[in-house]
Amino acid sequence: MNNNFLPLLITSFDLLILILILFYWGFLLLKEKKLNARKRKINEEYTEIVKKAHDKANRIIEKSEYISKALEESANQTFLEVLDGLKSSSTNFYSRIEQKYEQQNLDVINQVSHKNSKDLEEFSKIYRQNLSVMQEDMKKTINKELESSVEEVKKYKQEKLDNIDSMLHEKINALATKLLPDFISISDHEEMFKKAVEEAKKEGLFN
Amino acid sequence: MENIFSTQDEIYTFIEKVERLEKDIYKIGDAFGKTLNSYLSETEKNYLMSYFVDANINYKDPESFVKGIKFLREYLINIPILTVHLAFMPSFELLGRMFSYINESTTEKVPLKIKYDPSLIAGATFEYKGVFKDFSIKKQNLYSNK
Repeated sequence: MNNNFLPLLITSFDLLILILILFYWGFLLLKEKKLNARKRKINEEYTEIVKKAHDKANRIIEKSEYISKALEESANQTFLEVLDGLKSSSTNFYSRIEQKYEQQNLDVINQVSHKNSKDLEEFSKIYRQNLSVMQEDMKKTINKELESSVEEVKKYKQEKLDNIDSMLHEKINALATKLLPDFISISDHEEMFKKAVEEAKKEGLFN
Repeated sequence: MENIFSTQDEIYTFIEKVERLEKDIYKIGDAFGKTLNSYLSETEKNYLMSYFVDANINYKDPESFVKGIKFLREYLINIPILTVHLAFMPSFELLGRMFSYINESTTEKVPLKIKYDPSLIAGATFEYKGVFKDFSIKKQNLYSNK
């Protein structure tokens, strides 16, 4: 009896565990089914909310466009009216100003003309004086330049003459060196030597 | 000491003679006077003797003689020379007269050095103790417009 009891007990326990597992599995399936149903519901609600919000936004946009258009038209109309008013008043104002300043301008022009005439006369006087001074200065400068030029020409002429003189001197001396010794006698040489010695003595060379 | 030389050449010739004398001084011994007569003229001999006396040198002592000759050479080389440039080549006779003209103008006899320079044309130039004087025709302007 004891030998049959233990296996039977074990088998019963196994069956019990199997039944518990099956039950838990069934429970899980049921739970999943519920969750899926809930998820679908949430999705549907979300779609509905988004759709409503979109519709509402469209309506608001349409409404604001209408208002904006109305406001723009109204503003344009008001602006045109104001502009007309301004144009009219400014034309009048300008006309008045024009009249006023036309007279003033005429007065000023008359005064200026009168003043200009005086200034012109004064200017002419100063100009004539300045011109006279300038002419004097120019005359002095020209005279100075002329004197300087004359001096330079004189200097240049003198330099040229000196060069020619020096050249002639060299040529004549060269010719004299070549020809004169043939015409100078020994007694002339002796006489000139004597004079040279006397000159050297006078100049203190032998002291 | 009074100068006896008329030209620079005479000075150099005298120096050469004295140098020969210097070489023979040990050979001649007592016959020194005889050798002096053979090498030098009477004037030159007297000049040398008066130099030894003036310089208080015993010429009979060979060492003193050599030393004295050395000093004499230095003295002769340093005698001031009058360098004369002439435009012509003078004859010996004329040269003698030219020495006379110069000696008449100087306080003592001055040795001359004569040089020939035909570019002078005529006249002469003198150079003495570093001073140069030109009395030639070349120096004078033959042509001048001033």
